[in-house]
Amino acid sequence: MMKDYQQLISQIRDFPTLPTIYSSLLEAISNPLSTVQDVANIISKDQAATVKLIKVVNSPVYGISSKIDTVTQAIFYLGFNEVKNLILALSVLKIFGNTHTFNYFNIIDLWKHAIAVGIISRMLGQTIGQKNIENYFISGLLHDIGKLVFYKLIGEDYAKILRYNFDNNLNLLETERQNFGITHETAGEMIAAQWKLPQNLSHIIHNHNTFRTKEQNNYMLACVHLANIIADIMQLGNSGSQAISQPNYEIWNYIKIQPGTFLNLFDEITDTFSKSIEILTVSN
Amino acid sequence: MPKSIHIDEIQDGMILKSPIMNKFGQILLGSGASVKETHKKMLRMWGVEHIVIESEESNNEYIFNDEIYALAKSKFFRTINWEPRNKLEEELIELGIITNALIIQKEK
Ligand SMILES: [Fe+2]
Repeated sequence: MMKDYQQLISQIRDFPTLPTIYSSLLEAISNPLSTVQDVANIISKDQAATVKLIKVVNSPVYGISSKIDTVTQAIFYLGFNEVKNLILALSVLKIFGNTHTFNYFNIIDLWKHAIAVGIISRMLGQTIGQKNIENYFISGLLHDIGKLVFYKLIGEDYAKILRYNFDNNLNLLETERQNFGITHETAGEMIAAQWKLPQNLSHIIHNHNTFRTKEQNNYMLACVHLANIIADIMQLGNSGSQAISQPNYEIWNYIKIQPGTFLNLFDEITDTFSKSIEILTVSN
Repeated sequence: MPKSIHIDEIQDGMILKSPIMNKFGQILLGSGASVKETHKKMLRMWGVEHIVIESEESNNEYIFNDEIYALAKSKFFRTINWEPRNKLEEELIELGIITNALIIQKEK
């Protein structure tokens, strides 16, 4: 069932751009003269985004104890960068929200997997004592963006591939290469470039399965790599692979935690996940 | 909380959190049984290297009967083709077994 490779590539090139709210936001945040109010105004213009943003900020993903009612408060609690990340997440959700789903493999399961990886990445970052964990959730959430792109472009074929790969315990990267000539890692990296996503995010999208990295101290990649495996182990959502890969041994140089930590996180992961999927999957 | 230890670390009176099985899946000692240092030799003979015991450092309780645990274990092992290389990887496997056991329990 080899798809026409060139055709697929040009379809990826023509993939929709992110909603303008995201680029306006980037612009405002990079302008040193912008105030919290300027940034809040940009978001507030998009009513749907505002409502969702407030919901997510109040969700257990962030664990803020006070109730947040306004965009300004959200910025106050989370900072520009995290709010920008959330708008990115919501923009992506919007692009994929209306994707036609096929029975072989529900796209919602891919999205749930992404949410699980986001949540677990963030918890791992916290657990290993990383001070700056604001990009961990978005990195986990978007690591498999390439799969969503495939699903949106060649949904029926890709849903069949995912089902086939899952049922036969195969390696998804191999299966994709054989059938499409391109993996979700590469497709994801192309989209990251087209969307001008930050470099470290694009790096994670391209290397989360293998933990290939020349960079030192890539704690975030280590966390996403492991979170991706834990999400499969705990069967949260469905990544399209039943076969669970062994972590790259190098990550244990980054994930230095006490034995027992994973077992202790088990309930918290399950709990946060089930509370978050409602908020993050309702779409259109 | 269940904790995986090497058989060399066995001390008298430790309580098994999951059954000890040999390579053929036969149960040698059921969960809830207490182990003794004198068991070490027998376990080594059976090729058992790690056991899961009840540990004080606990705040999460998952207790399954031996049958469910064994079923969950064999189900999970079908999805991995690797051996754990450290304690944390052993724990990942324990997470997988618990996940499967919870699903089996729910279905019942
Ligand atoms: Fe993944």
